[in-house]
Amino acid sequence: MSSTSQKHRNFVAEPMDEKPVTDLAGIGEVLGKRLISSGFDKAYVVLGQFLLLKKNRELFQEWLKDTCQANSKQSADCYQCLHDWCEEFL
Amino acid sequence: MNLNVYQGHSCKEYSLTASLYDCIEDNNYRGVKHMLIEKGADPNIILQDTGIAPFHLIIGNESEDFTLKTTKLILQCGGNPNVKSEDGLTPLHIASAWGRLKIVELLIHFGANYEIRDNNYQTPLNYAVEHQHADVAKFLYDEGKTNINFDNADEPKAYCLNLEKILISNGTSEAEYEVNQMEKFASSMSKLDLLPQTTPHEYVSNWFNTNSKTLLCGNQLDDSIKPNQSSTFNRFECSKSPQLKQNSNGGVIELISLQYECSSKFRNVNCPSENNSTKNFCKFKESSRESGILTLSNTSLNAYSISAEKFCDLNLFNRTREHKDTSSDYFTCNEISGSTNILEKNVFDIPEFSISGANCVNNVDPGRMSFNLNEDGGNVSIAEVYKYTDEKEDIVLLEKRFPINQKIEVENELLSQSSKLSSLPASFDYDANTLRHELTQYGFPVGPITKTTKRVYLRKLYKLQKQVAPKILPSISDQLRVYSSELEGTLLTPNCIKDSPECKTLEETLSKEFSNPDPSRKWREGVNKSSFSYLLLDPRLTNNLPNRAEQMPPTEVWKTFLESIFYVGKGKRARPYSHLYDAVKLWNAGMINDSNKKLQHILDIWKADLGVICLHVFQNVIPVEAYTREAAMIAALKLENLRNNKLGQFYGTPLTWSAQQQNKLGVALLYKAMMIFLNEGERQLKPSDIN
Repeated sequence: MSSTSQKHRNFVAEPMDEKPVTDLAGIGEVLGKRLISSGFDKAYVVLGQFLLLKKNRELFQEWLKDTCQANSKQSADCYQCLHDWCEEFL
Repeated sequence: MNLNVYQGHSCKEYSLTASLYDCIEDNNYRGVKHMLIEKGADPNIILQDTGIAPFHLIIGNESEDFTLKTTKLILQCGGNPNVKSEDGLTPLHIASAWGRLKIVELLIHFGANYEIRDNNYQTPLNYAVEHQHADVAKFLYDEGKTNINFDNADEPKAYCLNLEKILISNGTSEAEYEVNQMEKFASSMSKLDLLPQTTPHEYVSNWFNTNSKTLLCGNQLDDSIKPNQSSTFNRFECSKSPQLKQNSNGGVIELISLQYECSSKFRNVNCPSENNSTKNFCKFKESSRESGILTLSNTSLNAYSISAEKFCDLNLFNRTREHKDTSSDYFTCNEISGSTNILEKNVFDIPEFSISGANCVNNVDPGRMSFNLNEDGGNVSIAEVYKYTDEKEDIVLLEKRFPINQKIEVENELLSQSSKLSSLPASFDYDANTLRHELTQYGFPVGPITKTTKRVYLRKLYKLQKQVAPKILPSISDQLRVYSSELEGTLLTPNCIKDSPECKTLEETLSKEFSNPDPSRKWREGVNKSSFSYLLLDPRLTNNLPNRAEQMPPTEVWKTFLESIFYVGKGKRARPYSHLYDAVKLWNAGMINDSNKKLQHILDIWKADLGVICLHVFQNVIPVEAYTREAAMIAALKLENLRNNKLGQFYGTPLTWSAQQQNKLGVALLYKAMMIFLNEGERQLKPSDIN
């Protein structure tokens, strides 16, 4: 298992509450802006989408690419982040 | 002793033959084998004492088993089935007189002449009748009858094949274009002294080049191209120079270069010029076929950009380069920096055409991508429709050819660059319920379909549909097909077939025997090299396999190919599609059911509004070779998996092989056939509608 980023660990460490979307691993300022403009302003909204897609890696990454032009790494990070969070708190 | 005794053979050869004779007399199979294989004894030499050769002796042996076994061995080791004894008898005469049907069959299938007469002017048939062997007599009689119509003169072509129309489909709508629209083109092209068989392709690609733009723009590009760019692309028309045409040596290369040419016409250049928004034409000559880099260098582009202000004088574009020793085709167009007229990056997508795979050099600017995607993404497919007419038999068939478009690679690459403009066609839409249903059919776990998830699911469905064709399985594959063990063994590793030395030698032996047929032998249907083997494939299973093959693992391709085969046969050049005539007649008569399995299958396919895929392989061989290849393929596939009525008949050396070897030959041939299929593209045949 490759090591995870600090951002990832921070996010997975605690409940997400009202965290902004940019707190998700893989989502920086630019992607965050794009997501917000499509209505995904909070991390839990993205989590909602993640769950709607039944935690399917392929579909979620596809969706993220589609919505905010994330690259493969960014979308994989984001997926992993939400996935690990769910394992912890869901 | 003088040479007469040995009949021109050396003393050693003669004594070897004599020993062989003794071994046969003693029913000593191992001795015979030793003499033939290790010592190389000649079984055809007539021995002085008895007036016959060992070959004659074996036929009359008391044990039928021993006879059959040894005869096979002798035939394998150069036994001549037409060798004459002192009385003019051949082994066939003897076998007929003894009423040994199996031996008679073996000899006939090895090219024994059933019309040969002995010194009493008797044919083998006379002997069979005389000794009251009805079965043998019947066999010989039938053999004579089937061959009566075959002489060795090359039959004239009894059909004509003409380009009828071109079908262009973008998934949602289909456009038909009749040939007469292209006649102008035809006449202008004919000046170029082109090879006749390549011209139809030429027409199509040329024609497509001129018409596709309007078609595409009209249909789907309106929203994806910015208004000020909408008419600013130029067209490249590649004209082949005739002298290069002759360079292409051999069919395969011709094919490759042709395809390359096809693709080269899909390229577009985007150069917005401020005051000139009409379509500009530019022509360049492309000289190198198999490999070439065309570079539009800085200098010419600079010149171009200067003149582009007023009018694109594209003659400056005419620049040709030849690079013979590079293995890939690409050309690049350099961006001009610092020119007043902003020439945006030009787009050149040139898939490289090699059988193994396609590379492409992309120089893509985002505004143009949508165009490429729509054009190269495989949504637009061209098919050429040829009309096959056989006036004598009153048969009209339509042949639909799908040129292989290898642009799939391009699509993948572009997808990773921008998914916003991914290949999902605008028309691809379902309501939530249908979408859910469709996806479930593929076994995909569907979550809630909402506004935000719908697009993702749509794309998934689109992908699934492209990968796994929705299987409308015809009844034949309802039960799992089990092939011969030799073929089953290759299902997981199809690539090992082409490396297998055994398969290679088997096929070499086969073609060696028949490539220079011995004139003294009597082969069924003569020795005219105008036969071929064919496979009938079910388009419902192949689903344009040659176009999909690139994306599929080789094992899948191999499996799909094998599954789709429903008939193996042998045809003749004069009437390549004669095997469909019966079906056409039934079809025209309005019958849709027939007891014949093969005909029924063909009619089923036509009913589904598809055409039967006819794969002609191993062209220009003599009939018996085609029969042997047919038999090998049937054996490998196993009869019960096919609509064939009976097993094929082997001729010549392969007849003496073990079943295992025969199957292996079949596997090798099938693999070759698949390679041909993948390179040739799909050709579907269906009857023309009679109105």
